[in-house]
Amino acid sequence: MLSERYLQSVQALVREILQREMNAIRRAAEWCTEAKRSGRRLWHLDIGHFPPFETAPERAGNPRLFEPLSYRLEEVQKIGRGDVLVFGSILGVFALSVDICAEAKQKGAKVVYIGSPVDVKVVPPQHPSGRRVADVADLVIRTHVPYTDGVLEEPWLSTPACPLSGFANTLVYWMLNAEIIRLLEAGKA
Amino acid sequence: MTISAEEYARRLLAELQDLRSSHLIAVERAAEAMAQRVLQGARLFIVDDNSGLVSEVLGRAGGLMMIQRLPTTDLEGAGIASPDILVACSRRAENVSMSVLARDARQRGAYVVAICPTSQGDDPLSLPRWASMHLSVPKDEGVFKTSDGNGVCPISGAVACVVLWMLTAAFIERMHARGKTPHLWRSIKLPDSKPFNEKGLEATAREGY
Repeated sequence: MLSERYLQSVQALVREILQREMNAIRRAAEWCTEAKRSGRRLWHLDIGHFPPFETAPERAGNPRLFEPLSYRLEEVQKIGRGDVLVFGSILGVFALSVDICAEAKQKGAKVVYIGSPVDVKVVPPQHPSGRRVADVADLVIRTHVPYTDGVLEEPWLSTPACPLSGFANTLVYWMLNAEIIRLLEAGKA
Repeated sequence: MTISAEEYARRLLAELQDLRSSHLIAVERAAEAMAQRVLQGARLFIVDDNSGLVSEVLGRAGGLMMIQRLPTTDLEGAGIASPDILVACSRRAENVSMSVLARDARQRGAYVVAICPTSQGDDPLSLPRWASMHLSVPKDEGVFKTSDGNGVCPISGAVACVVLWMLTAAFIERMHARGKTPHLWRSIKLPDSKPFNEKGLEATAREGY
């Protein structure tokens, strides 16, 4: 059944992130914790469909460690030296995404990218420089989502069905939050 | 419970394992009812009390072209009637406006799938009570309690997202079994997406799915 296969794909994705991305998540959490302790700010911008709502500051259970950033280049003016920007996007190929992340780095912030970068021959970057967000970011936390986003393939389907990226980016965001809280609470002890 | 990234992922895995045992049959039954109705000309609507799941499925790579945001909570104005389908998503079971919406949609002959937590009491205005099919998700609480007692890092949204795509997957399969495979969106980042999506939209407008 396709419903069961989708669920299995999600379970496999969570396990893969656990097995392969914990070092990156811990490193990002260390940067964020250090920034928080130094009085610097944490920013979050995800341009996906589901994550902007699910990770909104007013969301019940959001510890509000991060401040939301809108998807406009002017927003980067809010970012300062020593801040951390966590940027989510499935492939990170839009020109504006690259400009925002590059500008944030130029202002002295660290940039953490949550997504699934693929070879430029498969999905060409839209930035004139040919760069993707993954090429600009200081750290990439890979979500291991197929570049088509849809994960269910059948000979009778004209394109892969049922995407994973909304779930995956949300998962990594909450994992990162949990890890930052662990470090902050450990510092209180 | 220790707060950590690994623990969050493990808790989520446990919830997903529960879905396998508790939801597969209900998802398939709902999808079957939906497919039967679409063959009778039903339209597929979605409504959400925080817009996250609506945003997740609209214009989405790998998602259905036929699904629409419920344009208004005025069901008469929206023209909701039998055999239409309404997927109603809520972070709470006791949600008066969503419950009234589900009740009224049922009374107008629509099939209502509720994706929300299970009711705790016997509230007559709980969403599951009025749904044709209820797909339960965890309550909207954080997985962890911080030292100051706040619940943090919710799991309910991620689980609801998975349930919604499981339902979509089952619906696609049921439609295919009837020789009526629904049209899906292709990622706009792929070079051939524009003609593919334009063709699919034309076919969806013509065929209804």
